Amino acid sequence: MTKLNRRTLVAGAAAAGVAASTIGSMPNASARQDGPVEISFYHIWGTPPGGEAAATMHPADQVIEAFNAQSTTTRVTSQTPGNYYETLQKAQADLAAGNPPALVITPWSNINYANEGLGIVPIQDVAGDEYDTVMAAITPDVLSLVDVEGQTLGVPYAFSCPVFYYNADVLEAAGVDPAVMFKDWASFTTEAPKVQAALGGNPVIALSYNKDWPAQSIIQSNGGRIVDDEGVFSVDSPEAMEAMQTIADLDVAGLYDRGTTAELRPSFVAGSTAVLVSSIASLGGLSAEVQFKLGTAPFPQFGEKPRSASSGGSFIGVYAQDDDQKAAAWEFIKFALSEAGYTIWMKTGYLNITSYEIPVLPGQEAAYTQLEEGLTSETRWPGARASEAQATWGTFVERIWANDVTVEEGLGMAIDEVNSIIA
Amino acid sequence: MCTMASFITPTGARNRESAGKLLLHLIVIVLCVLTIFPFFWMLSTAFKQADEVFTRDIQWLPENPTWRNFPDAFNYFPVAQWFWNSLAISVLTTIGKILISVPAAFAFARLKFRFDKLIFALVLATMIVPGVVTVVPNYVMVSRLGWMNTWAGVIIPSLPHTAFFVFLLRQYIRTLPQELIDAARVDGATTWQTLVQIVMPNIRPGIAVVAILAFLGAWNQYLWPLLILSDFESKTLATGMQFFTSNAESAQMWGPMMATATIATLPPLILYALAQKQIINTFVTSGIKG
Amino acid sequence: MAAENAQLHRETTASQRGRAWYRFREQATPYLLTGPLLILIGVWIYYPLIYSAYLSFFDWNFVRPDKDFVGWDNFTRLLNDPRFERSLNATWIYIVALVPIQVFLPLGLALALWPIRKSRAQSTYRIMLFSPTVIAYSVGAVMWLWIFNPLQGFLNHVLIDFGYERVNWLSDRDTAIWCVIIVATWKTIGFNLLLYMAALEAVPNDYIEAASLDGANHWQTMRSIRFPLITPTFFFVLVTTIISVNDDVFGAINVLTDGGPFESTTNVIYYLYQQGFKYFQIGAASAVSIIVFLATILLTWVQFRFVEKHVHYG
Repeated sequence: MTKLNRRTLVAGAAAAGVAASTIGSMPNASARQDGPVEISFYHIWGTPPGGEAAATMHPADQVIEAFNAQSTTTRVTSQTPGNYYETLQKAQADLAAGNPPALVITPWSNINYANEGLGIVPIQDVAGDEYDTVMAAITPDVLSLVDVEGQTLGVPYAFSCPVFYYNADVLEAAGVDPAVMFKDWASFTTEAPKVQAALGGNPVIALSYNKDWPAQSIIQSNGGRIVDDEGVFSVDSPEAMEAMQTIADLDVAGLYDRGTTAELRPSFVAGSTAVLVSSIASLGGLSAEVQFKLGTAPFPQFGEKPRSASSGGSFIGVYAQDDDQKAAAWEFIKFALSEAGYTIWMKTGYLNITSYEIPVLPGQEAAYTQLEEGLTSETRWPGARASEAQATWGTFVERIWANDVTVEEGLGMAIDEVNSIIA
Repeated sequence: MCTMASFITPTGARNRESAGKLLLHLIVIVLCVLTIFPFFWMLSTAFKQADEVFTRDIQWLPENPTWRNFPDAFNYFPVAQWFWNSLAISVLTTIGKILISVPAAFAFARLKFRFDKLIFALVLATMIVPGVVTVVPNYVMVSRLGWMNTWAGVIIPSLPHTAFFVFLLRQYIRTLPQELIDAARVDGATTWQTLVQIVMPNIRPGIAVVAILAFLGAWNQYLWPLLILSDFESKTLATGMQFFTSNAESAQMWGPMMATATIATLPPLILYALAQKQIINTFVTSGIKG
Repeated sequence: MAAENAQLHRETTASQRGRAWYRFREQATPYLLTGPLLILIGVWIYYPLIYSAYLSFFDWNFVRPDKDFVGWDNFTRLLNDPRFERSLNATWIYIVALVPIQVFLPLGLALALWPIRKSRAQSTYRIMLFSPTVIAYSVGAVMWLWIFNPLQGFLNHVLIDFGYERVNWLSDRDTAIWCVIIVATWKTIGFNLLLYMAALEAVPNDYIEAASLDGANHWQTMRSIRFPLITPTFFFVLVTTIISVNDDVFGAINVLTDGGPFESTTNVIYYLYQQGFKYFQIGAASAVSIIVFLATILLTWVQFRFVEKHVHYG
C-alpha cells in the first residue's frame, strides 16, 4: 500500500523543483516550421465552476489557453465529452476509429485497463531525456501511484480525496461542535441525532459519488483493505465488516441519506441534510452554491486508529500514436507541470502535489490534513472488466449501507460477484 | 334529428347525461393537470435565481423572476449549436424517411411484382427488431466509416426505422379510388409519373403526418446520438442537457438547464399543437389495424 | 411507297424498342421504388443482426485490433451472471406492469374523451395529454427528479402534509421501479391515445345511427359496436407495446436511477448498454442483443398465434 504525505512530498521534490519550474518556458527544439501541431485533450471539466465564478472558464481550459498563448509549435484543443465514463467512452471510440486523442484525463481506478485495454503510452516514451527534470516537480510518492511495472503511465494532475463538508449553521443551531462531531465515529454517532433534530428529522449524512470511494477511506481507516498486497479482493476482514457496520447503523438510526447520487448534493445544498462526503475538488462549486456557512473536516477516526483516506481524481494519460503528436503532448505536459501552469490549475480545489508553494484555499485544510497523514492510492481494479468490478462493488456498498443486506451477507456476495468479474 | 332527440328524451335522462359529461370533463382535467404538472416546474425553474431551485420548502414560483438563465445557458454551453444540430438532424431525418418511405409505400399498395409480399414482410418485420439490438454493431460500423460526431452517423442508421410510416402510407394510398390511378394509366403515365403526379398530391395529409411524427421522433432521439455525438459542439439539445448538472465538482446549473429545456420543448410542442387534428384524421383514414 | 413502307417499318421497330424499354422500365420500377428502403434496412438492421451474432462469439473491447474467439463463453457467462438474471427480472416487471397500463389506460382515456369530443376544450385536452410525448426524455425525466426528490420534492411534501412517512422514491427498491414506470407511462401514453381516438372516429356513423334508432343507449352502442371494431387497433397497440416497452423505459432509467438502486431498475436493455458502452464488453453486449432478439421473436410469434385465434378483422 503506497503511503504518501506532504512532508516527504515537499522534501522529495524540492531539489528538482526549481529546475522543473523553468521548463514551461524552455524553447522546444523539435519544433516544426509548417504551423503548429494540433492535439486534443479530453477531460471532464466542461462545466464552468458556477456561481459568480461561472463567467470565467474552468481552470482546465485556462491552463490550455495559457499554453496556447505561449506555444508557437503546438495547439491544444479541449474536448469535454462528459463524466469519466463518457470521456473514456469517447477516447475508446476515437482510438477504435484510428483517430487517437493525444491526451485523456484518466481516473486512477482505470489505470490497469488503460494499460491493458487502451494502449496508454508510458510517459518515459514521450519524455525521453527530459523525464527526470520535468517529473521531479511531482512528489515521488504521488508519482508511484501511476507506476505500473516501472513504467509511468500518466501525469498525476487532478489529485483529490474525499472530505466531510458540513453545514456550519445547522450544526451551530443544534449546539454541536464540529471538532467533537467529526473526531471519531463514536462521537459522530452520538452528535448526529442532535443535528437530525435540528433538521426536523431528516437524515444527516450523505456519502456521495460512487459509493466505493468513500467506502475505501472508511474501511482503511479501521485497518481493513479493499484489495490486499497480493491483489486479492479482501473486504471481508473483521475490520472491514466493523467499518461497514458503522454506516449501516447510522442508516438504522435514520441518519444516513439513502438518496440517489443525483439527489444527495441538492439535498445538502438546500440545507435538508447537514453533512456531505465528497471530493475536495467540489469545494469551489459547493462554496458558490450554498447559502449557509460551509465547513470541511477530515474523516472521523475509528477510536485511536490512524486515519487512512483514499486519494482520488485522475491523471493525464498520453494516447497519441505518431511522433509529432507525442512530442506535442509532452510539450503541453511540461507547461501543465510548470509553476505557471500548475498555479492556474490550483484554482480548482484539487490538491497540490508538487513542490511549488501555492497558497491553500480556505476549506482545503481538511484535505491537506489527510494528505499529511498519508493518503493511499484509489483501488486499482485489475483486468479488462475493471469498471464493471468497481461498479459491482459500489452497488454492494450501497446495499449494505442502506441495510438492503446484512454486512456479512453483502460482503460475502460482493466477494463472489467481484471475483467472478476480475477472474 | 337533434331536436327530435331532445324532444323525446325525458329531462331526467338529459340531466343525467350532462352530469355524466361533467364527470368525464373532471376526470380528463385532473389527468391533464397531472400530465402537464412537470412542465410547470420546468417553466418556474427557468425563471428562478440559483438559490431558489432547491429549497427545503417548495418554492412554487420564482420570488424575483429573472431572465438571466436564458443568456446564461447560451454563454456557458454551445446551446445555439446544439439547437442547430437538433434541428438539422431532425429535418434531414424527416426528409430522408419520407423519400424512402413514400415510393416504397406506393409500390406495396398498388404494384404487383415478384417477391412483393416477401419484401413487404421483410420491411414490416423490422418493427419487431428492438432498436437496441443493432446498437452495438451499428456503433462499430459508424466508427469504421469515420462517421463519429457527424450528422450522417446519427441520421443514416436511423432512416430504415420507418416501417410504421411505410405501413401508414401504404394504407393511406390504398384508400385512394382505383379510378384515379387507372385514369393516369390510360393517359400513358409511367408508374413513376403516376406516383409523383397523381398519388403524392392526393396523400399530402398522410405525408404531412409522417413528417411530423418523424420529426418528433428524431428531435427526441436519445441513446443513439448520445453514443455517436461525443464532441461537445456536436451534441443535440436532448443529449447536451445533462452537462448543466453533470460535473459534480461545479455548481449545478438547474436554472439554465430548465431554460434550455424550455427552448427544447417549444418547437415540437407548437408543431404538434398545430397538426394534431391532421394526425388523427390520417390515422382514421388509413385505419391502423395491426 | 417503298419509302413510306420503310418509314413505317422504322417507326414500328422504334416503338417496339420503345415499348420493350417501357416494359422493362415498368418492371424495374417497383424495385427502384422499394430499393433505397431495402438497402438501408439490409445494411443497418439485418446485417447488424448477423454481425451481432458474430461478435457475440468474441472477447473484444472495441479498441484492441484483435478479437479473441471465445466460443459460447459470452453466453455461458451471462447465464451465470446474477446481475444478468436480475436484469431479466426487471425486464419482466416492466412488461407485466407497463403493458396493461400502456394498453388500457389510453383506451380508457380515449373512451372518456369520446362522449365529450364535441366540446371546445377537446383540442386543449389532446394537446396537454400528448405534450409529454413530444418532448425529449432527457428533458421530461429531469422534471420528475424534482417531484421524486426525497427531502425537498413535491411528492413527499404532500405525503408529510397528510401525515405520512417520507419515502425514498428513487432509492428504495420497492418504489424506484414504479417511478420509472410512472414516468415512462407519462411519456408514452399520448401516442397510443392517438391511435385509439383515431380508431373510435373511424367507426362508420351509419352503424351508430342504426343502433341508436334501435333504442340502444350510449354505453350499449359502445359495447356492441365500437369495441369489436377497435379490437384490431387494440391488438396492434398490444403487440407493439410488448416489444417496445423495455426500450421505452431506457431514458427514464438513465435519467432517474441509472439502473439503481441496487440494480433493481436495470432491465436487459440497460444491462446491454452498460456492458457495451460503460464496461466496453462488446462480445457480452452482442450476446445480450442476440438473446433479446430471439426472445422478441418468440414473444411476437406467440402473440400472433393468439391474435389469429381470437381476433376477427372487420
